[in-house]
Amino acid sequence: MDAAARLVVGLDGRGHTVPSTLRGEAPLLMRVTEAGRRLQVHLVGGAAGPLGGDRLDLSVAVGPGAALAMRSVAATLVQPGTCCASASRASVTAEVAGGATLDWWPEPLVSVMGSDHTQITTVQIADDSATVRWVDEVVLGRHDEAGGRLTMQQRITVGGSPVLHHTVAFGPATAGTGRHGSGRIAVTGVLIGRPARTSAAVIESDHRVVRYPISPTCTAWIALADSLDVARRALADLGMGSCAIDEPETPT
Amino acid sequence: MATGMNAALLLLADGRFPSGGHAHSAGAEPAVGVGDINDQASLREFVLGRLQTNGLVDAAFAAAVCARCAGDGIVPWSQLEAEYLARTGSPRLRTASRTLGRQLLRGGQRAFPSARAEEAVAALGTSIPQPIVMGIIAAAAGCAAAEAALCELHHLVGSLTSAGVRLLGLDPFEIAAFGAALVPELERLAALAATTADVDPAELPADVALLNDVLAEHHSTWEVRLFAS
Amino acid sequence: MALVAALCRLLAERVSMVVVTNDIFTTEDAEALRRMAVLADDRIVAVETGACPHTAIRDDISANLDALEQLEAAHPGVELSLLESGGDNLTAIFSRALVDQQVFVIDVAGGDKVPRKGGPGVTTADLLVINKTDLAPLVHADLSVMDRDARARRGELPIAFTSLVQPDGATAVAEWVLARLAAWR
Repeated sequence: MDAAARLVVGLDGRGHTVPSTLRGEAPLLMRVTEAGRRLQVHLVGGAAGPLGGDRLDLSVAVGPGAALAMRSVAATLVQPGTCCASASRASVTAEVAGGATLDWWPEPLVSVMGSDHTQITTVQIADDSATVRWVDEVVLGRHDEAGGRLTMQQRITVGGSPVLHHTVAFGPATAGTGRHGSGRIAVTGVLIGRPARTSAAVIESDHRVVRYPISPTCTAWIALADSLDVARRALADLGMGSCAIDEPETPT
Repeated sequence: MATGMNAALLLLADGRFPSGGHAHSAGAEPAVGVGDINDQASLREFVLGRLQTNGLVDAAFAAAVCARCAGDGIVPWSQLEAEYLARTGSPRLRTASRTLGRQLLRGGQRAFPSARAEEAVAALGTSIPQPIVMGIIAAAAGCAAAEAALCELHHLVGSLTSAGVRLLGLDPFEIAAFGAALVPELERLAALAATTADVDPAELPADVALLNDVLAEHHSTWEVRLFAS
Repeated sequence: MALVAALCRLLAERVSMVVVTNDIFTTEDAEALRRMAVLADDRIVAVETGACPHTAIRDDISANLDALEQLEAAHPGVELSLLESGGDNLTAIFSRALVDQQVFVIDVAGGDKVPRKGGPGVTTADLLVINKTDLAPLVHADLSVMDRDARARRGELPIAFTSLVQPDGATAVAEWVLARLAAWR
């Protein structure tokens, strides 16, 4: 299945964020779930997917001064194809204009045993006046199941200059201590456009979490854990969850 | 990988070449500290994971810089550095890489002086990420891009395994045998790194080991460290 | 660390100095130096040696040179840089590319046969310090034997016997340092 979706939002005369384009096809369907100064849009997942062989393409543009929160109603289950071992691919592209805010934090992506998926995320931020929080949660395998092959590629630029460029590969051949540890959960988060937080690292038996500044206006978080709840709690302790980014900052 | 005889490469690959690398464990010390590495088998797994992630990235940057330095064109120093830093988020890892780069530049410039090195310092100062310096020095020594990559991978293995020997008292003969078994993997990765030597710096490999960032930042909070990184 | 701290106390007010230590350096050590107010925090840097202290002062001096240069750049006008290695072995020696003068410290508690064993530090160091003389009776060490053997090894090179538990224990070493500094100026 090939599917594409596009969302373009901007400010209206009252200072509210409104969509000028909201177009999708299964499994990339979107619904507005909150309107106002900040627009909240949920990905509703119109079909099971992505499946092996799928090509999905989601693009989002946030216009000057607008504020958008992207969420999803449920986890994204990445599954193998029905007939043969073919890979699936998703591209996620976001453009964020000056003074705009984008808060991207969908439910986790679950890599099901036997699947082979690549997600390529490209975030282009106009300049330092924009604020972006981008969180990717990965769950390797459903209950008592090994995950499939999963490659998460992410490139974030501000004013054309690279801030963060990562390829994180998961899968049977990539487990182990030299990469991402042996847990089922990997969460990466980044906050750009706010004063950076200092470094902090926590190592416990069921989670390993770090926060560090990448630049004076950019902070990154990583959590590797046995369960999503543990990872989320640990990240909240390090200030990732509490930074409701459309509200004034309370420094930690 | 076919390489001609190259005594200069041996010099750059020698752990005795003065470049400060002996004081860095490439992440092995924190991994030993949290129990991830505790014997030969766990060290082997750790080394493989690191080679295929940060190791490949470092090798690819060394190869890309080496190829550009050997050519006649303009080397986009600032862009190469920015792309490398975008792949190295942890402040501790950045500092370690810049320190090792500065130290390699000192010994490397003395042994293999080059106009490219002076050009790089004029553009970036002396605290240049280590793989970029390796590319500069390797080119000045007459090495090919794949050889610069191989040298980078060789030093990663050396840092990790010698830290294992020093911290855990692992059997050095076992380590030597492990090194020999890794030869095909090092050559594969070096050749892979060389395939991207001419691409736009934005397209260079970006594979990361997330655990490396966690452990590096944690290591920096230890009260007593034997290794600088 | 004790000799370095004593030298800092005796010299820091008279000359602009910095310290690089290769010894395992804890926040407690830093605290101790800070409490004694011997030297400002930002004038002391610890360099990790990858568990190979000899390599860091002799074979591959890159990290120590780097640390010294960074300190000297951060504190223009530094006249005296002390580099301390906890090498603790008779075979240790500093590279001439790293230091202008080297002081080799041995310990009476190690036994009075140590100078006779020689090694590059005992034989060639610019100053040999034989420390903890107060312990000599306790370990049955004969200081005159140490003196005789050291002289036989070193010829005209100077030797200082010290006991840093005495209030002015490091004075002889400090005076030697000042003399070297005057010669360098």
